[in-house]
Amino acid sequence: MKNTLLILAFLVITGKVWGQESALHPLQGTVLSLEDQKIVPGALVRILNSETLVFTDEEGKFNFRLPAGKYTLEISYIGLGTKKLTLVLPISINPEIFLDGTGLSLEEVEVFSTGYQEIPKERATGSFVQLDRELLNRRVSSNIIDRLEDVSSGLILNRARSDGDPISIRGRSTLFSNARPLVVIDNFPYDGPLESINPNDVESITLLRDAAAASIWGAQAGNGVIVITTKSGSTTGKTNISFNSNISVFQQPNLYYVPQMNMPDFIETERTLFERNFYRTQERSANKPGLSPGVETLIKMRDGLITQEEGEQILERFKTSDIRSDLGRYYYSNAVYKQSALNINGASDRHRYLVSVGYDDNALAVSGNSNNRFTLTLKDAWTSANKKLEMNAAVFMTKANSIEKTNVPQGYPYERLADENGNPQEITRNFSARYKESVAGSGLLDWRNMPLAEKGILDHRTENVDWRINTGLSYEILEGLKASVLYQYWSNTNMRRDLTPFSSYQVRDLINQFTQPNGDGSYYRPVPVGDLLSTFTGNSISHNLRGQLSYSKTWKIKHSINALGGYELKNREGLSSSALYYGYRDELGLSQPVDHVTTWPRFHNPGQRATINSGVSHSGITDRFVSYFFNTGYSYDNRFDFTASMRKDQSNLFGVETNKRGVPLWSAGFGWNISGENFASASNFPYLKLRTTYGYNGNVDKTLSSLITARYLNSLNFSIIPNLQVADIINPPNPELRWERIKIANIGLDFETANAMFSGSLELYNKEGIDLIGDYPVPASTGLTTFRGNFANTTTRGLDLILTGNFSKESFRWNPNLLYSWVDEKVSRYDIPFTAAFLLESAINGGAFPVEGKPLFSIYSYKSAGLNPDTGNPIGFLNGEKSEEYFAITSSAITEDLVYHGSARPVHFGAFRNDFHYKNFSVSVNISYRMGYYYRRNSIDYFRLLRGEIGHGDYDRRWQTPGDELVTDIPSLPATANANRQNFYRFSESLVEKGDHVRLQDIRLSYTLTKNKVPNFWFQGAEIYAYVNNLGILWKASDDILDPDYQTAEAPKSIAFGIRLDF
Amino acid sequence: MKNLIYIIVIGLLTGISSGCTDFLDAKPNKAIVVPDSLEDINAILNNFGYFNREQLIGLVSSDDFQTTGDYLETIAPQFKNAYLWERDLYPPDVSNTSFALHYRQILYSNVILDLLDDIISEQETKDHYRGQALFFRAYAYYALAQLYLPLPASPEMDQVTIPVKMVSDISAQAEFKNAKEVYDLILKDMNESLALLPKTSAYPIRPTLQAAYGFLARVYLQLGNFQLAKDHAELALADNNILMNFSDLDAEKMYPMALFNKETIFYCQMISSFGVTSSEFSLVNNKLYEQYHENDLRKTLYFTPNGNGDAMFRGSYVGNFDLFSGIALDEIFLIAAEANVRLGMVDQGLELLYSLLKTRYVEGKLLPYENLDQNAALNLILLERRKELVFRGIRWSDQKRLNMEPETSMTVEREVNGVVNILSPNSPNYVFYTPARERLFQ
Repeated sequence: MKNTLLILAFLVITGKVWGQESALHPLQGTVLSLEDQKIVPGALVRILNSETLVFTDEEGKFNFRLPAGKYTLEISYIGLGTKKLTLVLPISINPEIFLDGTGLSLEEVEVFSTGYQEIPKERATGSFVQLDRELLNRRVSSNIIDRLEDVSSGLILNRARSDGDPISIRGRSTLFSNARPLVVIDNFPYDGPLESINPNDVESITLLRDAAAASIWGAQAGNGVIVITTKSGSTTGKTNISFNSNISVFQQPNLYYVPQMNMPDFIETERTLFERNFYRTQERSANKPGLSPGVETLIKMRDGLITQEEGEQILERFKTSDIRSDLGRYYYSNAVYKQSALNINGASDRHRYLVSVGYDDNALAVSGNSNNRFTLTLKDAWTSANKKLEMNAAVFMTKANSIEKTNVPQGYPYERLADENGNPQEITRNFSARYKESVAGSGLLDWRNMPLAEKGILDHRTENVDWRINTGLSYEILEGLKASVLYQYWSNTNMRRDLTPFSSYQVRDLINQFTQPNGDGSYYRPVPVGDLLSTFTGNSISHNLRGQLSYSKTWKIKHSINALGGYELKNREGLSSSALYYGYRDELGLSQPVDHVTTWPRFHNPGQRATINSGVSHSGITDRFVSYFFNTGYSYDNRFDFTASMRKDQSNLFGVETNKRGVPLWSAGFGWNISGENFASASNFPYLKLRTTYGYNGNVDKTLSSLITARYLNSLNFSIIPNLQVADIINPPNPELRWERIKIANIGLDFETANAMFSGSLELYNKEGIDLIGDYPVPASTGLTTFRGNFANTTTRGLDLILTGNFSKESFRWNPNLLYSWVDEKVSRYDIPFTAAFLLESAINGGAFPVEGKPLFSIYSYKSAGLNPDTGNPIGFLNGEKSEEYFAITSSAITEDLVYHGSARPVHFGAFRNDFHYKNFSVSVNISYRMGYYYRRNSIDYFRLLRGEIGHGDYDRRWQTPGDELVTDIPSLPATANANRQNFYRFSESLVEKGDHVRLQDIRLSYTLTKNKVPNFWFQGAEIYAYVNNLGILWKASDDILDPDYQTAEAPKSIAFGIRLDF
Repeated sequence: MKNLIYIIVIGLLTGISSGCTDFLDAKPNKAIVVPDSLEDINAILNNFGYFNREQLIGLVSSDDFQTTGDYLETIAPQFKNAYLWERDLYPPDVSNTSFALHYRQILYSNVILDLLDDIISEQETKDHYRGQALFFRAYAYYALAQLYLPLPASPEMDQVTIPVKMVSDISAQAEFKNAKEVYDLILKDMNESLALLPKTSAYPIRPTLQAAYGFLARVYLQLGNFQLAKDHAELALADNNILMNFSDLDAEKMYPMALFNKETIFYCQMISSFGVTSSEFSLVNNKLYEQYHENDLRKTLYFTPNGNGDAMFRGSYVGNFDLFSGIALDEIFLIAAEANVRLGMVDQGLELLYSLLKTRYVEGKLLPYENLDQNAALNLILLERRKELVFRGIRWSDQKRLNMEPETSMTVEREVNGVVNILSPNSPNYVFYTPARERLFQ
């Protein structure tokens, strides 16, 4: 014993590897009689499905030690009847069970995991959302994040412009800093790719949405926290084996989804441009740029190389061609995803274990390209004989590979990839057909670009190997006082090896561009003949160490306290490098050295010189945190809960004085179990709880510094002095720099009606983002065009409602579930002046732009007065008068001149899910909705069209003759490319649409058999299921033919079939 | 037992706190530094992608340049506006202007100058870097003055100002200064740099003493201070005055001039723009082209005829389609020649001109100039200046200064799609408005 303690102390002091999670958890409880609140000694407490039973002692208490897991207790006492209680271990409260003499009723104790501790729902004051295994298994996907969509309250996947924040929990609490929620897996933040998490290994997910929870995670929690808990060893003592396998088939990408103008119209536009000599610059340019086949034909016609008739025939043929048909035929197919997972777990007296393996194999929509993932988990937990010392260790390994064999070719809209017989055809790329013909046969490598002949020849591979090793040690020093040390090691290696064969156009083209004529008709090739091999290796490693003391005690039945404190260290380091090898021969594993210093004249344009790209790059990052935390909860008489938490985070911010590296954050909470009050006990609500929290979260932007910073780089290989070491100033000094903080107040009501017919929760919150950091336009005379600083505050009000019904009749059960969220975001302070033009410009580029009193993501437009009946020109307003002075309209507009439509992100959203169970059949249908937002649809871009790029299908509906203005708002084709007219139209009112829609998201069907019901069944349980996703839109406000949330590509419909077996 | 608990508690709560400061000192990203050493400043000064760049606008607005109406529709709006002498060059939402580029150069220079104050290091290198930063700052303000300010002697001088910043603090308000004040700043920086600059540098991207003399000669000429222009041009010519002999150049090459050739004193190029720098429609003024004599080697080395009687420029000292706009020896010869003639030293001036031009002509075909009066000599030099420095981005400034005197003033006409645009000598359109985006902040 003494030795064990010494070892523990030693380990704690030297700060080595250890962790939490115990093998056996205490379960202590008290049995009371509801009527007179008196303790009940001698009551029988039995754990269902096991042999374990005890009687309560003189104080009405019982005591078990059990492995983690879900248990149902049956408590009975003659005269007071029987009561069943389901709970999940570990549990940090001591349940009090009231026998009421009314017989059977079922209560479930839900437990929230914060990554530091488990909090039972009854004791929680903060805003938590829990997704259990059943809900997570509802959707079939290889990615865990997809499974959160439309089942988690307050969470939304941002479909349009999601770069930077693919997921938002209760809106966005930052402008331009990190906007992603923190992801915590098994007690520690996870820095790796979320794709490496196998959803089959996940037991539950808890979302932390407010200050109470989030201050547990402090400065990383500003955007909310997603806590993922993986499955653990058996709870029943015997060995369980379960197997799950499914296959999903996705609809082939529809290349015709976004309408495109007719090919004959486009060819005629090219002819018009050609006649205006638009292409002459490019035709004669020393760079020999590629021109479309139509323009090349027109050149030949002009120069008399072919007759007019021949030329017209060729052009007619182009008018009936479409590269999308060849792409659909030769390059795309149905993506097919296959997934299998096997899980074995079991336990003996003092040991629990789990082994799981998973394999995902995905054939992608581009034929020949695929990715796969292998996952392996090993988990063990031990308990000492006296049950005071607990140890655990877990290893998680993921190996993900992707293979790219084919690149989808880029060609002119009417180019053919194959002739009628399917033979590959040459298409234009970087150089003109004329130039290539002129040098054909001169001894250069074949310079033709025939993508179809190269289909499948690439050998581009990436491999991502992710290791997570978790260990924990805890010791119960005194009753209720526990010390634990947790440690996690994580490593992620990402390797890319792209072999582009010599036979590919890319390599032949590169060699030709650098080919040097010797003057005697022979050539010298600085880029040697052979394959091109590009490699990248990135390696990240992190260590997380946490030491904590926790204390929990209940006395005089009515008082219970639960406290937790400790510190945490994190060190993450990442290194990467890349290289490029030329003249590579894969069969020999040999490449050839290349001169990266000499600047060579390019073959096609000797006036342009370049060195051969070395492809070398290196990077290194270090991310460190030191944190201290303290967390406490006090509960009185099962009715009142008080919680408080404090945390201080310090990080290795660059160029920041030591005292500014950290930010202290705190929160406080209060809960009132109304149903515990005497006056309420007879009401219609067997469970009613009011809870509230208040406090601060933080957000950190590690790219910033209060000092001036510069970045070193080598000058480019084609610059006047190649590879010179130069420095660029990236961050001007900003002594005023502060951490972002988010102040959150949350109030929630949990309720359940009699017989659990209705249950749910309603939460209201108010979030204030303080000193938010962002890039703002500044006058160019400062030397910059944007500047980063703490410029803005935001206010977000919102509401989250969960309403679940439970109706059953005989074998039929119906569980409707409604999620509704309202998010009202506003910028409440913004220090920097801006103009209408900035606003529209940034709205198109990234979406976020702060305007006081408006959401961060908003849609604005120029006021439009339709089309000019004589010319079809769009009409705007200048100083209140109708005008077609587009330059003046766009340059003089101020914010007040713009039409404000509303938020660009849904203000109201949620889902209505209906689960039906009849005997062994289950059907679950999810209908999601997003309301109260706007988007800007695409339309014809005449400016680009008149620069030779094909345009949007709106071209067909454009104004053509007077009178058309009554039926269309699409302007006429202007005579010349007019950027200002286009700019006005692009941002005009007529292209703004309401995004509101209701979507039939998915349907899941399943059939389940269990051994209980079918005694001769081979398995303990079996389920077969089918799942259909992205079924389509049921209703939308706009008459735009495209899906409001999928403007550039269709949401792929998919169908999946699967089976789950338990042995 | 109790002691052990103490140890655990103390270990947990305090075990790590010591040594935290070092732990958090780690640099978050290898590639970034807080510049605080001469090495860092050297690397910033090497950033030729920012420092050795100039705007292209002046070339397009000058009468060196010519294009077609159709083509105008295809180039970026600022070039079209410059060609038509519209005072508002940029649409309001364009942040990437050459105006911004020059202020970025100024910011970098200011940052270096402020940093140098805090660095304790070897004085000579420090001086060199300070001199170079002063040079870059002055060079940037000069470039801005050419487009956005009138000449100090102009009657509009008081009405036009540009923002001026002389400190690195981003939040410090810019002061608005007029042409005279801006030129004074340029001269102050340049005169200070003379005592600091190195005599040589590894690449001509970094200013040297000769570059500073050459640049000062250019500034004084622009201001009409011919004595100081002459003095500085002659100082610039004192050490290194060997010109290229154009007879030695290979006319078969697409671009006959070499990068960093021996006439290059300070390297600067105009920002590339495909439409303007490498287009077949980017033509040299055909009236000017006609004035090159048959024996003038520049006629072939500078130009590619396009067959329609027009010619494209190919004589850039960058050695490709990018256009050189820095300081080269030929310009210094021409400044010295002009200043001498203007000061009445006609023979000396003509001699300088002759020593330049004889390297530009077929050997033996150019005879020394004789018996020219001051006026004729001046006109000759101005014409030769125009022919030698074509497409160098200098002509717009020359037009501005020559318009100050009636004898040398000019009216420029441009016909675009049947409409004739006229730029008269005193036109306010010689001064562009600061970009619309910038005005939005005022």
